[in-house]
Amino acid sequence: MARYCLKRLALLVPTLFGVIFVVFLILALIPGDPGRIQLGLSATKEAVDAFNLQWGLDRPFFARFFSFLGGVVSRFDFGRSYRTNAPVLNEIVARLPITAGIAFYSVLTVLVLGVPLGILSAMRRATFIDTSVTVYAMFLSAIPIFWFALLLLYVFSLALGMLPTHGVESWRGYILPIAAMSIPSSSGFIRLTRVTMLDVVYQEYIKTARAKGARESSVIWKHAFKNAMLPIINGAGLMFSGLLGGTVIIETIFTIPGVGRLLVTAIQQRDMPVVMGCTIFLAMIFMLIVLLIDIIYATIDPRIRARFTS
Amino acid sequence: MSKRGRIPNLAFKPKNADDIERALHDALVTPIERFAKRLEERVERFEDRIRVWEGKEDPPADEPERTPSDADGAPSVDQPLPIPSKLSIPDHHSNHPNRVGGEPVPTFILAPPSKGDTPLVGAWTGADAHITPPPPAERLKELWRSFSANKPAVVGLCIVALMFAVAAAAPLLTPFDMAIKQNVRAKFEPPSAAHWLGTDYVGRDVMARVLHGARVSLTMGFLPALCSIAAGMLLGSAAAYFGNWADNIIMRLCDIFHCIPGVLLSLAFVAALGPGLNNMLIAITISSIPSSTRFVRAVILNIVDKEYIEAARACGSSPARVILRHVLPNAIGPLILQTVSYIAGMIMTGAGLSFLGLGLQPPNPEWGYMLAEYQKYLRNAPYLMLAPGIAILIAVLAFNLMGDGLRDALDPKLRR
Repeated sequence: MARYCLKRLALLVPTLFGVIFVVFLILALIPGDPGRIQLGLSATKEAVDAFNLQWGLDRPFFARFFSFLGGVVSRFDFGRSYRTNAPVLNEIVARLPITAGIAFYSVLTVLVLGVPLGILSAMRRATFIDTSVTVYAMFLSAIPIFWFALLLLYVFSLALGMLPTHGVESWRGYILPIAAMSIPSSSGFIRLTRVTMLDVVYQEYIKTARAKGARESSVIWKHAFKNAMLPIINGAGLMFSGLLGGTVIIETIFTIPGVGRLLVTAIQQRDMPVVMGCTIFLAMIFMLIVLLIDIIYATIDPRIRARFTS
Repeated sequence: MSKRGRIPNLAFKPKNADDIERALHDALVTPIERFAKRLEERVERFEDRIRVWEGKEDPPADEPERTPSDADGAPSVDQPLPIPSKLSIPDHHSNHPNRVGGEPVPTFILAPPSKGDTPLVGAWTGADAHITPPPPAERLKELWRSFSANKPAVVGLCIVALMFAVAAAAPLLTPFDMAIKQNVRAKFEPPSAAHWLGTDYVGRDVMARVLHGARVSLTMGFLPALCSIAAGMLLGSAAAYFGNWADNIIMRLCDIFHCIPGVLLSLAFVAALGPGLNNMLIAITISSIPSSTRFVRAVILNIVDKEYIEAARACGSSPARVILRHVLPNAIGPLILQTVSYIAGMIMTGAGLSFLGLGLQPPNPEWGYMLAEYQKYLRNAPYLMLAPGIAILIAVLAFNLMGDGLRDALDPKLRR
């Protein structure tokens, strides 16, 4: 097991370098002079040159890349913001708990909303319940989260006045963003759970469990669901990627000071170090979560573990 | 010196232009020439073997003689197989209990030889050696029959067709002026005969904006989806076909891109290129190429493993023929499905990016951007945001329904 973890960790390093390089390359492709873009058309040639010199933008691409990479590797330094001159890392870390909280609770809510409905739909296959759950999932999957967020905002904050319209000063502020993200996303889980459960329930061991007289609840949860769990856990990891993207929009709508909003503001202000820092940081979090999922996978499934321990 | 190619000489210091030219020739042209030569040799060897099989030529003397073993009666190479016009199973097989009425039934069937394949002696044991596959028109009819049995899918198709019609005819239905001309005196008007969905905060007709927005949204779905699948086909099939280092390089690159969540990648591209419709289209396309490459590669690898490809190769079909006649026709179903699901996803992503103000620039109408504009008037005029939101919902829903129907029609095994 330890060997498996080590192997996966070692594989992470080149990928991480690749990610940093790709993001750096994309953001270095900006057409035009970075100083000119920052300072605007009215700035003098001298001011632009001074800006480029100050931020080291006059150096060749690889020189900039390696000094950035060196900073990230040795000091975990993602550079400084053009606008505030504050280290990008501090800005991200200050906002991270909010974004991480929203993403984490959204994943939990999605699982709670999606998995039971998927199981129900699979167990009552080709009945009215199955059809209505499928139709419900179909509609949910087509709802844009930003539109859904606006609807929730109108109904619960403006019309009913039950929840705050913006900010996360109290726990009540988290309810709408999490609901707006997780309810449309749960459709994917309803379908995934339904399909994997349908794969499992026709297996011989389910027949065996029923034949030996196990209770239906025990058949569903202990025999069927336990085997259907792997794709669901995998799906949860992948969904995290979607939710990290979703937080960008949700945080903008609810004016939540999270990493996503930082990123959008930075893009609008063309503050490249912040854009770069946020993208790389979020990608790193995503990579770590995928790694975690794979390790959980190996812990749960003896077949995968056996491949690495033998 | 490795077998696959030379390690680049890092201490290379060119003295003049000739040096550089020679080095470039060594690095780029020589491997290709070598590869072409190997390929030629292989084809020649293959052709020789076919000639031997057909009995037109004696086997080359340097090939080790195979002694005919009498035990199993296998034909030797020197005695070419007789080529019967119609192959049948020996009579005693009809005594087998599985045979009904003594009629010989083919025990195993390889792909029916299509026109142009060299018939392979002994492989095709069908009772009737020429079962011709149904013509394309027939197959399309069959596809339509199973697609149209799925009512929701037909509804989806109709909505998609309707949306295209509306998008195409938008300038005829309402002038573009109505969608962008401001008329502050007529702002926040409720729905009426003149303005079916009312007017917005500067007096623009909401209906006109939604209709004209359909053009942008459909473009945002279609163009990137098609481009991304096309690029994916190129890269994915290269990875699957060439294998080895090409596969390695392409797939490692995809892995790297895969680690960056899609929306973030699009955002990074928009950040680099600047906001605007074209830049957003580029961003959405590029950020989905890695996943489409993976998809195409998986589809092609899956097909290449199948017996009918082996059969086509054994029949002596050229690689180009195998790809064009056997691999692509079988890959087309999954590719169409993926394109349709991409379209739905990209309409959503595009609307999301526009919502953040990174897509189409005002005053042009676009559903996502309309929502962002009307968000400010949520308190006073909440009905404004209904129309663009429902438009996105219907568009995505229609493509999803259509995709589900297509999947069932193309691959009945997946149906649940």
